Amino acid sequence: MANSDVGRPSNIPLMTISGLLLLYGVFVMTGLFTPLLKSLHVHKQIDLMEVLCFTAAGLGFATALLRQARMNKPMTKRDIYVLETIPGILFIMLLAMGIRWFLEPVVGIVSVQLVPLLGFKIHKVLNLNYVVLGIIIGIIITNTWGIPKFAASGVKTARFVLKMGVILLGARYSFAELAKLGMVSVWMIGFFVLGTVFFVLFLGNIFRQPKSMTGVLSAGMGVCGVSATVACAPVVRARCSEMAYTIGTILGFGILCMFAFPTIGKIVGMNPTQFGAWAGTGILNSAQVAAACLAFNAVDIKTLKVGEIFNITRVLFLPVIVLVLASWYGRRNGAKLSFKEVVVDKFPIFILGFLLLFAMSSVGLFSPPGHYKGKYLDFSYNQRTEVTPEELTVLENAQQTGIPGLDASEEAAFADLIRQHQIAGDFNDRDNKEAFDATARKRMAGLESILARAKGREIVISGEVKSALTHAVKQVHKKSKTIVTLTDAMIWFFAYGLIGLGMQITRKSLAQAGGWPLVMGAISGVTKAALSFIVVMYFVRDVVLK
Amino acid sequence: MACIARQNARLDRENPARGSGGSAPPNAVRIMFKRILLATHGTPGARRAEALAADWAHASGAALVVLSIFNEDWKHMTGDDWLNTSATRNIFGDYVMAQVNAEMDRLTGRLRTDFAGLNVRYLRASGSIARVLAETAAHERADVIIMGAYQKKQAPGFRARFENKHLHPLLPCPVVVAP
Repeated sequence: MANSDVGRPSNIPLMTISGLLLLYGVFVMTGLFTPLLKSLHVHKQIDLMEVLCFTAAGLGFATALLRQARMNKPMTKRDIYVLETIPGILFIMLLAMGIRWFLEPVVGIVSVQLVPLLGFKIHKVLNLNYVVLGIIIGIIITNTWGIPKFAASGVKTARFVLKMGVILLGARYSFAELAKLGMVSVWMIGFFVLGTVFFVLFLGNIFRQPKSMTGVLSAGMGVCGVSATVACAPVVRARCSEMAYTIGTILGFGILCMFAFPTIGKIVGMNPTQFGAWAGTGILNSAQVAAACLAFNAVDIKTLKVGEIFNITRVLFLPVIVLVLASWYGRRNGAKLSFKEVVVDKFPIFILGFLLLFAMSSVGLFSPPGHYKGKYLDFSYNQRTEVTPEELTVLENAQQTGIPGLDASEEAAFADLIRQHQIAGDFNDRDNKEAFDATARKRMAGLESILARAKGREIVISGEVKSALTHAVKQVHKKSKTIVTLTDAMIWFFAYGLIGLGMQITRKSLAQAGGWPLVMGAISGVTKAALSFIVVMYFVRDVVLK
Repeated sequence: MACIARQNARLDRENPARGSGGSAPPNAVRIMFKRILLATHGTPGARRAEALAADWAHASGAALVVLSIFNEDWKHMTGDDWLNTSATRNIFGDYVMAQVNAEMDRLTGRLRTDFAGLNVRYLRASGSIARVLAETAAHERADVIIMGAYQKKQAPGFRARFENKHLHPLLPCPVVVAP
């Protein structure tokens, strides 16, 4: 089982990364970085920073020791699949932490500073949150310095981690949600996937293009981008140039959509269900769907939940489309493929994991009865319990114009919500849980009082302010601890996976876009995006998600 | 043969004092090689290189080594695919490799006819084009590398522009670009 030792990358980068993580953890723990972190508004993540930094640094040093002991020895499977992947895993983790805790807030601050010059907040327009920044950083790294040699094995784990993210998301659905969203998604995806596949085949006929090219392009444009192209190319016996042009076209179109969709969705005022449905239908690559949904709203995972249901429905169509194309192509060319080759091998197994988590969650394995009934409150610092940036803007505007009739405690609660973006105690009391929670409860009571008085028409607040306050109160109603942990892990898995996936997008592969695949891909892609936009805007209603 | 004669004649006209003090007859073949390395994928630009290499091999009696390189950038062509299993990606990789090999087989078949009568060896390698070219030239002890010129319009196939800045520092012998 031992491979020949082709030389392991040096341990120095791994030691450096581990050292940096350890040093950062120590600085955070001793409070040296607290003023800086406060100025970046990430000081509430201090506990998480310490846990992640010390754990990752420990893992890094332990791996470095083990690797050192194995230097100049033949590579075993354990070396290849475990030891040699850890440096890359830590490299992406370091990037993910840097992006979430430094780059994203810095981009936000710079963007605000540029408002007098540009007239708008550029990070809002381009949706430059940690997800989009992660993908951009991944693309920049791979196209400039290249993926460092020591990290090459670990970067390959991104695909697996993304699948883990989708599996964990399964725990966040209820039967009712899945039933409501599932019906809409099956109809929409069924129509648009099959519609696009047949539309591309039709275009190929009109433009007199080879069957192999139209076959591979139809799968890519109709189902799930490059993944479908990779799965279908051998089935339809595509030629090299056809595969290269198709993949280049799909990659380019997908990246364009990933940046354009969230901006367009916000401009036209889509709700999370509408955007999730549109992204899940119109964007080609399913990882890009997750990225666009998180770009549309990275704080609340509502959009992601909708987008992923559409995504999963679409992915389930992949074996069907491969089967259709195999019969379509095989009939013309006499090629015979087995059922296993065409369907079983192409079935995305991770969806079984998603369904398993959904089933476990549905039978109450993660959330015992009572957790969703407002019985428990969670005032801990957590991005999950924050209001959205849009809601924050609404609240800030309301504070500037003033809400007549508020008493002192209501005003204080309102002001603190704007300051902290969530209902919480005072930062200085964070180690004194009792005092922290008591202050938070008082603030929550203040906000509930505003809502109650508005309902009783004692005071007047706009519908948007009411919605933002209701959301803020709802956010602190505690979910099961397991569900919360799974959700936090899922968000990090997506961040990690998308950075790694960004590293797979090279300019050389994008440069392959061209020829008839580009023409036909542009026509079919734009048509699908436009038609699904119309359908979503007119026929998809908001679905209440927990 | 005619090509080399034309080149020598042009060079002699431009610089009568070149070579052996200008005393050699203007049409004599003065370029002598033992081994010529031809890099080709059969594209229109490379076809000119094939003609020039054949010319020079005839003229000098040199052995011709024909090298076709499988571009390593194909490994990036699974792009941001994350859904497929490694088995599906391996099938795709094997399929691409088979397709490229089939294209190279067709090229070799044509060259066997074009290069009839010459001492030719056919090589295939994969990796970075510049590195593989330089390494093969060194390994084969080639006296010269002949390759096609930059074409404004790329031939159908994998789009990869060759960059001199990557090859030049690695060169073990002169390179001739067929115009």
